[in-house]
Amino acid sequence: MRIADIYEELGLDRVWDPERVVALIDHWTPAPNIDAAVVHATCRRFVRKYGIKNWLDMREGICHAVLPEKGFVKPGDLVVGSDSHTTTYGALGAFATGMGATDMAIVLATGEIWFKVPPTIKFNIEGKLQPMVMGKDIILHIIGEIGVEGASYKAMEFAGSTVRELSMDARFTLCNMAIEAGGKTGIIEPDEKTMKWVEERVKQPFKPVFNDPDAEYEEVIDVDAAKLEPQVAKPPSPENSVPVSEVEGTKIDQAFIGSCTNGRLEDLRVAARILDGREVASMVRAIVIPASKEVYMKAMKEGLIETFLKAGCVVCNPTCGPCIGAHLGLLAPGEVCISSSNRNFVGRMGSKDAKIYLASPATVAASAVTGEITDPRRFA
Amino acid sequence: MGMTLSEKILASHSGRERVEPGEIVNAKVDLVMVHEMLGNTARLRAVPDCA
Repeated sequence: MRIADIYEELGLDRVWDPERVVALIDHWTPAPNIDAAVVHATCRRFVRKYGIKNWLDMREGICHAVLPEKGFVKPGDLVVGSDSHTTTYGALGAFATGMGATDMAIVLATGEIWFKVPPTIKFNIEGKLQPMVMGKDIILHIIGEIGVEGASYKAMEFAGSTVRELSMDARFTLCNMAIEAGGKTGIIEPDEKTMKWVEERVKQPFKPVFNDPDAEYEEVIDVDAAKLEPQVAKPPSPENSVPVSEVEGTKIDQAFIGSCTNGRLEDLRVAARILDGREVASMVRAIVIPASKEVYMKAMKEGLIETFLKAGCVVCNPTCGPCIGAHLGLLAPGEVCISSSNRNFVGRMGSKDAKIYLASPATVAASAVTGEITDPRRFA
Repeated sequence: MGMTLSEKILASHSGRERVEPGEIVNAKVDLVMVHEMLGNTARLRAVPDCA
């Protein structure tokens, strides 16, 4: 059952505020089969019927890249989305979380929803990252430490000198994967980088929200980022993260760079730096999917797309695609994929007998070149 | 005791001075995002999950 089904079942007949709803399709675009095409057609029917103003169809790309880029999310906002990785927007200092179809139908009709106030866990991340170590490595390490239920229904706040040094792209990656530890939201207190990002994009007025100086945390967890090696999460769970040295040499069949977690410009730049002048190993398929049209166009302008194509990658249109096993690169039984996405569950990217390793775009690119899981610091 | 950033956002959106972890609040949202989960599937056999 999806939202439109629940609307029919409950007899809901209105959208609370058609101007404050962003609707798009991104999971399987363009439609790879008839069922997907029908879902897309019914999305468009709903949008027309209720006059939803911000209908982006499949033009812009993956929701979690697009909404921040287009200035829809402001610091201090409360945002809900029909996708578990809605936590991504917390990088802007918003409280953002995903919900299932029933809750989404109610909030779409009323603009209101109940919450149990989550306690906050603060992750105090300190130290200078080594070259080729990325935001993804920090969050994989954290999930490895606390487990996939380690922050169930908690707010995960990322703080410390390392976070202040991270780009907005890397901060989106941190908050994006909060849900993989069970987090109700991932959030970062706004600073001058946040303000620069939103001032270039947000048109409406907003008031950033900050922690009280005497805010009470359920727990404070220190993370030493300076010592952090590139991380790889072994199948079949994001909590199986280990330093890359423990899995180096594992043969791969496919390498995927993209998704709402790691398909942003910084991700593509790092991958392109490694792939520049090199070639993807002959028995490996490398798939690159920019997370949004904006990322795609900037990557083209910077010559990154050309670098990927010359190296032997296939570059596809912005969509979730292979991350959710929808299209554009499913895995056969027995195959191994290294992926910059967020989940390596059984069957996530195709066959239930395939294996998925999660890593940063740097580690994925390095592995694509050698044909086996590889420490990207070899290419630094 | 003060509140964290997350608690302050939930408090301001539910018309409260302050909230405590564990409390249930009814909050007004600023923005709703919907993707393929918006459509109808009741009449379909099998469609990939959105997550």
